Amino acid sequence: MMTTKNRYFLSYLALVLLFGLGLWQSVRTGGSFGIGLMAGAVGVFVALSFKQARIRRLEAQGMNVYDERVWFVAGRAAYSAYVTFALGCALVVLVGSIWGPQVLVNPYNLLGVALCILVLLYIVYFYYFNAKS
Amino acid sequence: MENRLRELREEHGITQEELAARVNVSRQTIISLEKGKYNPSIGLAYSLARVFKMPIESVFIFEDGKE
Repeated sequence: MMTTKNRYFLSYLALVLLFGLGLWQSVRTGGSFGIGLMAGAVGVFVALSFKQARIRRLEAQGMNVYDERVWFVAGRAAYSAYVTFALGCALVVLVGSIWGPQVLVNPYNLLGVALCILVLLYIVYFYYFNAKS
Repeated sequence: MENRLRELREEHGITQEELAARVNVSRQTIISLEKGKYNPSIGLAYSLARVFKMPIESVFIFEDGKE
C-alpha cells in the first residue's frame, strides 16, 4: 500500500537516480544537461525536505495536512489544468495546421516544455481554488 | 450551507488549531468551513457535531431548514 512513508522513500529514490543519471551524463559527455539534472535533483531534495519537516511539525500538533479539503481542491485543480491544457493544445494544432509554418523542433524539448506548462497550470489552479474555497 | 462553527467554537473556548486536531483536518479547512466557503463531508460534519455534543442539524444549517 502506498503510505506517506513509502511515497517519500520513492521520491527520494527517484531523486538519487536522477542525480546519478545527471552525474553519469555530465561525466560521459561533458554536456550541461547532466549538470542541470543534478542541480534540479538537489533543488527538489532541499524543497522536499523543508516541506516534509513542516508537514511533520503540523502532524505532531495533531493536524491532518492531507485532509478531505486538500483532495477536493487538488481534484478541481487537476481537472481544470487538464481541460485548459487540452483546449490549448487543440487550438495550437488547429491554428498551426491551417496558418502555421513548418517548424522543426526537438521532440524531447517540446514534450518537456509541454510538461512544464501542465504542471504550472495545475499549481496556478491549485492556488486559485485553495484561495476560493 | 451555513453553519454555527465559529459561534460554537468560541462558546466552548476552542481554538481553530485545537478543533482541527480533534477532527483530524488542517486549520485551513476549519477556516474555510467557518467562512462557509467549503461544505464538509458527512463524516467530517458528524465529527464536528460530536465535538460540540450536538446533532448535525444544530451545527450545519441546510437552506431548506433555514428559519
